[in-house]
Amino acid sequence: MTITSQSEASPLLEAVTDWLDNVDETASAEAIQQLRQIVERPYQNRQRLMYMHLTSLSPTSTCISWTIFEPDGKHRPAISADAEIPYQNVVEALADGWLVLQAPDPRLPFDDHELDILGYQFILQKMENFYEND
Amino acid sequence: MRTIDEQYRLNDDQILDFIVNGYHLVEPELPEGINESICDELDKLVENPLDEIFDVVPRLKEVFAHPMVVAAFASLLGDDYQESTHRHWHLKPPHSSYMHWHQDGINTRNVTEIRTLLAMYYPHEVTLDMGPTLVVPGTHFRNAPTDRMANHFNIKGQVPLAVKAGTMAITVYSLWHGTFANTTDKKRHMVKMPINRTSDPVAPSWQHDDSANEKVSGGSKGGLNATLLRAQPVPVAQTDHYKERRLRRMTWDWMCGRSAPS
Repeated sequence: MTITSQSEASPLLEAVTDWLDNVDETASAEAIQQLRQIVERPYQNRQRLMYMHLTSLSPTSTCISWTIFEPDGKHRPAISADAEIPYQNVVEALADGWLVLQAPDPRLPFDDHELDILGYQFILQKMENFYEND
Repeated sequence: MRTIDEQYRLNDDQILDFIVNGYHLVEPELPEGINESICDELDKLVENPLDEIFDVVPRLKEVFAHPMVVAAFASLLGDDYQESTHRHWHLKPPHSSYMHWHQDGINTRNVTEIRTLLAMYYPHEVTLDMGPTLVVPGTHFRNAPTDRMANHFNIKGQVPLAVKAGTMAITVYSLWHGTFANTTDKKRHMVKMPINRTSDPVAPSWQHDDSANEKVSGGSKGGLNATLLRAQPVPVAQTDHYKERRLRRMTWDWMCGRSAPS
């Protein structure tokens, strides 16, 4: 199986732009102009954040709580009846392009008898292009 | 000492379920029309009377004094339980946001001695879209400050209290709770009051069958022991689950009037 990573999209974009800069525009000028507008559409590369709480330090253990923060400046996550867990564990998220930003510290304080916060927190990020009016 | 209607005391199974999950629902057989009457009065309130809510809406006293409610409080806290002077009317307005997970009050390290309950009365049916109270079963054993729950949103095993009109939800005071959003045009009412234990338990205050102790002490198969050992309302890792089992057992023993096993 061949997997193309997101990072390879950028050279592709550069190549298309280079092609546009050198192509003979007289042949189908309208189509080429449309392509140029697509390529040159302004965008920002932004960080999506996902917090996942797993039952153990292992990225394969069960996710019991999660939330995603979308980077539009307005999005606020919520607890809701229709929320569906996006990934059963961290490795599933990795397969969908998420990167681990912070893994839980195995030297976290613990107590032999008491229970404290629920789950072990993984913080993940996914860099995505956000276009105007998206 | 108040009078308890014996037939309404909780049984061993209900107590064990409460120990494991941290909440219990009572559906008292209330006089016809009382829920509607209370709803009408709450609908008309223009400001929150806070601790005076029972004076402003007097029929609330009937609900909290209903024999089924009183017997449930007595089963969990002893016949000499005491109602708090703190009461609160919670209005979840139409089209209002969710409420994040929190524990009321501050954390207690003494999680196996259930000394305070929160009683929440819902005078009308609460549907999922009306912003029901949410609880996370078993979290009353977790010594976790609210600040550290800030990045927990949906939690596997969370339970929305989508209840019938007139339901009294009783929770351990430290149980994690919050709400969904109210996306409807309706007001969602709830009136709550903390209930306190006034003396240490010396014997079970519920409908107790001595054979339950044998089942609890015995092997891992069947009966009450299965509830204490196997129930896992929220998925947790092995060590956490072993701790849960121990804390449940200590709570059971304490409520039975015995000291916890070493």
